Amino acid sequence: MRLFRTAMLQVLLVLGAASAGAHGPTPQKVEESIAVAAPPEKVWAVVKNFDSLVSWNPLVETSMGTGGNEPGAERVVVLRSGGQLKDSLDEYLEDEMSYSYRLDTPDVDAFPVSFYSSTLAVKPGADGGSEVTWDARLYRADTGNFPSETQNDQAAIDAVTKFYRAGLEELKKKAEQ
Amino acid sequence: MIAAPRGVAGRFGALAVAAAILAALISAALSAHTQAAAPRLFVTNQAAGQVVVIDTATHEQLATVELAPGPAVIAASPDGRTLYVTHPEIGKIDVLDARAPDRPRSLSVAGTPFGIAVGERGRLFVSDWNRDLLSVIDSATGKTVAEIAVGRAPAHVALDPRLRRAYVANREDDSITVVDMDRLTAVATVKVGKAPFALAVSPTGDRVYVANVRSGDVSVVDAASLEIRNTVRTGSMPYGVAVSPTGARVFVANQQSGTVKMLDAASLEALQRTKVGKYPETVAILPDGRRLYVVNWMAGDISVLDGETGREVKRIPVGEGIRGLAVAASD
Repeated sequence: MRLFRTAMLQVLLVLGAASAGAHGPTPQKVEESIAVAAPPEKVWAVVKNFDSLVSWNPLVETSMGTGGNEPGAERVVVLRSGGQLKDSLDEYLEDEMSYSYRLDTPDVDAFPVSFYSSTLAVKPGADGGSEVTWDARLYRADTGNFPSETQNDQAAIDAVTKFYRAGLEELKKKAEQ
Repeated sequence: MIAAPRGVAGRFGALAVAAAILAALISAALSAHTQAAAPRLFVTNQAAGQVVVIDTATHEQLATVELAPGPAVIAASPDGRTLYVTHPEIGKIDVLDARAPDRPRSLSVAGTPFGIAVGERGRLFVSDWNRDLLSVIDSATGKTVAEIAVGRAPAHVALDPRLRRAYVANREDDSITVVDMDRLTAVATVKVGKAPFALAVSPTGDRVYVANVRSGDVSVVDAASLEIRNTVRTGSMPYGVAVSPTGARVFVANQQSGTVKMLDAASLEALQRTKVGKYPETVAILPDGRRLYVVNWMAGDISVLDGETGREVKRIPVGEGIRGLAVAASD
């Protein structure tokens, strides 16, 4: 029965109904940040377009979007390692240099997370520079009660952390040029 | 010094003394009352497997109760004496005595219990997100009295003792199910916004406020007609909702926005938008309406908001992984 349920859950995940039941297990958090020696406006210019992720995250192959930077806009993030994630934009605050989005369609074999909601923000940092924060609330790939090692909480945290670090370091490089 | 007629002075003096004594008595009674009745916050820490107890008078932590892993949602009984905590990942409900919370009793239940609300005589209404049910459980015996089919991925549950209804937010069906609390049957399904998660009933039972995570709004359901009276945009990913004891104000925590919006219930206009900690989720209001408490999940702290102005007055650090929140009086 348990196996059956897990199998059914996988089917649901593949069908894209990932957040079904995702609120049961314990949500996990990732909070990453980086100091950039460039003014916030310059850093924001690199990241401000929701579909421009490809230009500052080396793990991303393409990030085609529709809807611009309006709430409800979508982007399909194709990963270099294979697989694709569909994100949708929830909130866009130009004045605060911040936007929030969520994972709409996961790809748990390529990226072991069934759901995340995420916020990227550029804030004034030390000496006229910037601080970029990127955080997420996420659920593991297998939201059943007996996940495998490749689909458990740690696997999810590791995947998101790696993705965020790669993006933030590339962003720093680009903005400081 | 002016000499007043003796009788009058004596009478005034006696009155003054009596008044002073009365004032002192009232003051003592009031402060004793305040001490005895200061409600407590019970906060689940899902990551640490704990419930943290906080005094609302001092905002100090009174106790930390160790529980089984993954406590999620917590609800108080109507008399405030007992608290119930769901563990969706292990199929358990813990029962805590508000006055002696460190000796919890544990009920084993089927499925994945998540949302919970407490009726009279310890009858529990518990959503099962994996099996799409509302389970009705007698907490004294631990027996399941009924399993009522609801929509997909049911999240929070709210009761209305006047109309004898339980309302369940069906996150993956964009609806709420209305359940008859006595006959234990589903009587209606109402379509709301996208991905309803939390909900709250007004004190008179005339309205149900449903927070829709995906559509970023609150559906205002007229309880009599079960029609949508209004839909109010509140912010990104509303995850928590509470109504003031007078019914005049509605508070909504928007997780993505990191804000709490205070709405005027009559006009449904936003009166205040307050930045709180990162990823706010559960909200609860004191019985006197003076304070609203907001669990900031990512920040690991609780924002204390003024119930009148909706502004933040304090932040209480609690710990990483806090999730659910209930208010219970301690008398």
